[in-house]
Amino acid sequence: MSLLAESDNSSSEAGLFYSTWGSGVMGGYNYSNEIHIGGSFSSGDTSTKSKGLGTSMKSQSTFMTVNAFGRYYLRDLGITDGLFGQAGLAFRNWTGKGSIIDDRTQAKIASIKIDWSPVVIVTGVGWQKIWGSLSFSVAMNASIGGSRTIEYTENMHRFSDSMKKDLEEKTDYPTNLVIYIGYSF
Amino acid sequence: MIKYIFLLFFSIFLLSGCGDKLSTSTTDNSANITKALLTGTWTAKCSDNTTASTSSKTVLVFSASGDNLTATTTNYSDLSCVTQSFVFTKKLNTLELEDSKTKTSQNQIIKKFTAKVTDITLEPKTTSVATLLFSSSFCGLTGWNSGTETSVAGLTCGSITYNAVNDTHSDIIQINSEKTFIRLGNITNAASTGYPKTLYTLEYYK
Repeated sequence: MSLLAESDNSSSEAGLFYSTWGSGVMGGYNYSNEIHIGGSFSSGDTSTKSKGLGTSMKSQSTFMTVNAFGRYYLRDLGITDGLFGQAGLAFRNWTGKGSIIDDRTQAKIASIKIDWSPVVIVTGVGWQKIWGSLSFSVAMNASIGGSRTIEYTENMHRFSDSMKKDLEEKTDYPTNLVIYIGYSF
Repeated sequence: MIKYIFLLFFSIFLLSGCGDKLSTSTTDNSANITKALLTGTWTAKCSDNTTASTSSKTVLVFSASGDNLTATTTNYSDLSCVTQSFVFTKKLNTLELEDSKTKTSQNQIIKKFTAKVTDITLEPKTTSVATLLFSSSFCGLTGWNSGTETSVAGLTCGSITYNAVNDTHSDIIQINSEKTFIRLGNITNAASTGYPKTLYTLEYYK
C-alpha cells in the first residue's frame, strides 16, 4: 500500500531536526513512494571549561553541515511506516580549538587546533512514522572518507599520550543521530 | 530480497567503525632556555606565611653571562615584605645548562642544570634575630651579629643540612613561552639523580 497515497499525495516535505552534529532544517522531495531526495543544513557548537591542578582548560568547536542525500524506504516491510536507508554527501565547516592556561600567571601552557575535511560520504539507516501531513523520523548516520587533523602546540607542558588519546576520542564524531519532525505539502 | 540486502548493507556500514581518518602533529613552542636568556635579575613576588605572620621574597641574579647564580631570600617579620628579619643567600658558579629540554613527571617542560656551591650565608637583619640565633647556637654557631653574613655551607641548621662549598647543586628550570618568568625545582623533592622531581610554583619575573 502506498503510504503517500494513504496520506495526502504530498510530494515535498520540510521540517526541523536535532542531531549530534547540530540542529537545523531538512527538506526533500518524494520522487516516488520509496525514493526520497533531500537536503539539510545544521549548525552547532560545543564549548567546555574544566579545571585541573592550577590550570584551566577551555575548548570550543563549531559545526556547520550541509547534507544532500537520497533515501530509499522499505515500505512493505511492515514496520510502521517504513525503515529506510540513505546515502549522500555532507559538506562540513567544522573547526575546533582549545587551550590550557596556568591559573596563577595566565601563561599559555599548551593548545590544540582541530580541522575536519570539508566533504564526507554519509550513509545511514532510519525509521519513519507518518500522521497525515506530519512525519517523524529517527536515523543513525555514519561518515565515511573524511579526515581530521589535530595540531598540538606545547608551550610549557608536554601532552601525555593518555591526554592525546582522550582528546582524540572526545573529538571524534563518526556517527550522527538525527531526530526529525516535518510537514508534508 | 534486494531491499533487505540494501538495509543490511547500510547497517554494516554503520557498525564498521568508519569515521574520520586521524592525523596529528605536535609542535614544541616552548622557549629555549639559554644562559644569555637567564642573565639578569629575576624577582619573585612577596610570599606571605599567614600561619607564622611572616613573609619572604627571593631574588635570583644570573651574572657573568649566566655562569654565576646568586639566590637571595629576604625574610620579613610581617606579611607584606616590609620589615626585614634575616637574609639567606646561596651563591653558585660554573653553571652548566643542559642542551636539550626534558620534562618532569608532571609533563612540565624543563631544562636541567648544575652549578658549584661557592657559599651559603645567613645574615640576621635585626639584633633580636641575631640574639635568637646566638642563644640557640643555630647551626652550631654563636658568632651571630646583625648585618653580618655568616657562612652556613656544610652545616646542619635545624633539620636542614646545607651543601658544602664546591658541592654540586643540581636543579631544574622552566620558562614560559613568552619568556617573562622562570620557575626553579623543588630541591626538597629530589630524585636519586639529585635533580628535583617537581617545580616550585613560585615564579620569578625579570
